[in-house]
Amino acid sequence: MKAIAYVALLAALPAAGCSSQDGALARYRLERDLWNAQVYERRINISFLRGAGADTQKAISAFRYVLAQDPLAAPGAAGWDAAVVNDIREIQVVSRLALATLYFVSERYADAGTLYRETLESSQLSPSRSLDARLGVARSLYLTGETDAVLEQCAAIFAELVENPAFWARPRRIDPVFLNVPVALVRMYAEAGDSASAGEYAHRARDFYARIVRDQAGTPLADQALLGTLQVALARAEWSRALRDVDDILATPDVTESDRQGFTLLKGEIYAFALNDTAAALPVFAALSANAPGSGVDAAARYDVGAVRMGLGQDVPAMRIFRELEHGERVPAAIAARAMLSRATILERRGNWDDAYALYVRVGQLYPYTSPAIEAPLRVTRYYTAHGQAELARRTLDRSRDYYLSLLERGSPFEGDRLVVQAALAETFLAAGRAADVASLLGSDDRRWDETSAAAGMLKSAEVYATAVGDTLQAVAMLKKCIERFPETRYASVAQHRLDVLEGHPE
Amino acid sequence: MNIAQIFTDYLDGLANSRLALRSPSVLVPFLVFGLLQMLLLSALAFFDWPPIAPLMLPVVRALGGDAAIHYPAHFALLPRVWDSVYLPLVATIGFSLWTLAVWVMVGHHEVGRRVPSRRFRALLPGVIGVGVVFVGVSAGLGRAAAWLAGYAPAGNAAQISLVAAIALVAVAQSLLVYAPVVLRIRGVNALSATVASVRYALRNFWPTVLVVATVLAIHAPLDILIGNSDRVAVRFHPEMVYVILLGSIALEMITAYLLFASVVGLALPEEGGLR
Repeated sequence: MKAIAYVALLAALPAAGCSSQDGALARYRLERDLWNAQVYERRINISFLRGAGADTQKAISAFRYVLAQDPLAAPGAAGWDAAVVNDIREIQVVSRLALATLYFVSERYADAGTLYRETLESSQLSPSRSLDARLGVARSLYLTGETDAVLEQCAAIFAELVENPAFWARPRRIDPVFLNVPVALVRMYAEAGDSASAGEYAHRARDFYARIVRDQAGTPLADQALLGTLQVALARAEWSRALRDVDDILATPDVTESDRQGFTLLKGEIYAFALNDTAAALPVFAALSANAPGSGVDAAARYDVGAVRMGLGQDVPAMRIFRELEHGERVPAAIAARAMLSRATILERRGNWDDAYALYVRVGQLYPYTSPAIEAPLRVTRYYTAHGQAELARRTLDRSRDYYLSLLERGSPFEGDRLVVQAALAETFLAAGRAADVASLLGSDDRRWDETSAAAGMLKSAEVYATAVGDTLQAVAMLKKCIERFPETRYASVAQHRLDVLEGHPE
Repeated sequence: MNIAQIFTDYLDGLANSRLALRSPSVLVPFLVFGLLQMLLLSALAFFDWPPIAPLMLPVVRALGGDAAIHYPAHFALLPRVWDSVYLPLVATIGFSLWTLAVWVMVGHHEVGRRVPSRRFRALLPGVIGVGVVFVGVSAGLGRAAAWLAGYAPAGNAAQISLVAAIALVAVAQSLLVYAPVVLRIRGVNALSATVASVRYALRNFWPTVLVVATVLAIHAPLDILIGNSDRVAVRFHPEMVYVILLGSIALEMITAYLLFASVVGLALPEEGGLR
């Protein structure tokens, strides 16, 4: 009898505090599910280089499982402790943000954007979390090609930064990436052709950066804000203001020597190529070369002097400078290649085609992964086509096609922008009057290319079909192929937009 | 007593653990206590299992604080929570079952057959008293020594302090480990059994210390892992801490038998000993 009484007592005691325990138990189970999901997340990070497709899918399932629990929807949840409820909400936010990141990794941009928006709408987020979520929305919108919505989201992020007292109370807790948002807004509005909005945001961005410089003086955040101010001026092509901003940066006490050299070079280039004030530019370049002889910045400054001389029609001193750079020791490959291309340009202009051609070939042999090497075949093709040498133009085209395709391959050592290579490939073929061939080549969905190159190639192919070939049907077919092959990406969105224009029913 | 004699006695003591091969029933009390511990540990580790959750959640919270009902902190704190259950458990039920096992082992010896039989239940309060002293002294000394070792400068000094702490516990346990045998042979109260155990241990000091140190050394690797449970929980799966504790219990079933079988062997040699 005693035993039965003890058992009954034991059973009755916990039942009394059952509802408060339910919350703690629900939180514990949710924490365990979150931990299990995070284990897959960590495994993805570890095995990223080996490919982590299976783990990504497992992690997505695990985080979706966490979110599917929703213990706060339980009947007695209203009576749970506030601390427990807050913990559960925090787990849900963490899981949502992690799941959205995983959607990004899986290139499910629309799903990522939806999840970020839901997070923003359904949760009371901390300032940094809210900014993270808004940045996530902006990224997903950008990747799905929703350009206008990206601007809106970036504007919302900027407004949140400027107006949120929590940000100004502890700005150092915010990821520095958000300081790039104002300048990104200015650039995007400028690219969209909305100069009024670009001007308005340039003004607001300057105020924002000035406040950070004032409040956070001497911190890396203030340095980044000074850089942001300069970038705004550059984006707006406000050169005099940009020069003042460079001087402000150079006046900061903790600027490194390499930064000092880089910003001084920029100052000289603004004088030389934006303001055409060669009298102000040349002493700046000369001072840089005198202060750091034999360095990369010395080579860049000497190249700029050569380019200034070339612009002034002083071919002989310009060619001497370029030749010295071509043969100089410790001259960076990019500068040596630019020097070769510039000298070839002068030689071609002066009618010395044989020497110019030799340089065009040599730059491709010595520095095949630089911009000048990518541009050289186009120059050669243009020359032969302009001079009626069809057979030489055809041979050049064959060689340049093989060269460009080698750069576009997935495993190519070329680390530059593959879209530039595609553009050069198209231009070279167009220069030779073979538009249909290059349209077919670009739209071939070559499996040796990465997805970005394949998608961009299809868009470029459609553009060539529509403009140079004049075959709208082929252009439409190519755009539909792009939409079908890369759904939910910005390529599909751009293709759809162009398709609407071609078919005569723009948005 | 010369060194050769010390080692001969030590090995003779250990050799008495062959008794389990002839009479496996002597293992039953160790197995029962081990299984009881495993059940309780499992209930504490998986307190959120719906049938036991309403009972175990308050228990875990009371023993480990609020942090103990969060995952994965719960598993990092599990050794601490388990300690607060284990120490009273081993001082009472554990020591009683081990004493019972000692009595069974003594019964297999010719000395045990000659001394009058005793009712275990009648001596149970004394057994528990000795158990409380045995566990209390071991745990108290162990913690005090570890606390003092914490103040030692890092490096060799800290390691020496730790070894000294283990040696201190080994000595304390050596002095009290004969009490269950005394209770069976003489049928005295807890205090007399403790005093007699100390006297006998001092007469047979080094072989006894070696036996106790052997048992502690066998446990040391798992004890180190348990001491780093927070790292184990975070770097591996948190449930790994539970598996390690489970392994420790399984090991204890073997080492507790080894200890008490050796003690019986040392206490009751062919020529009489404790008799």
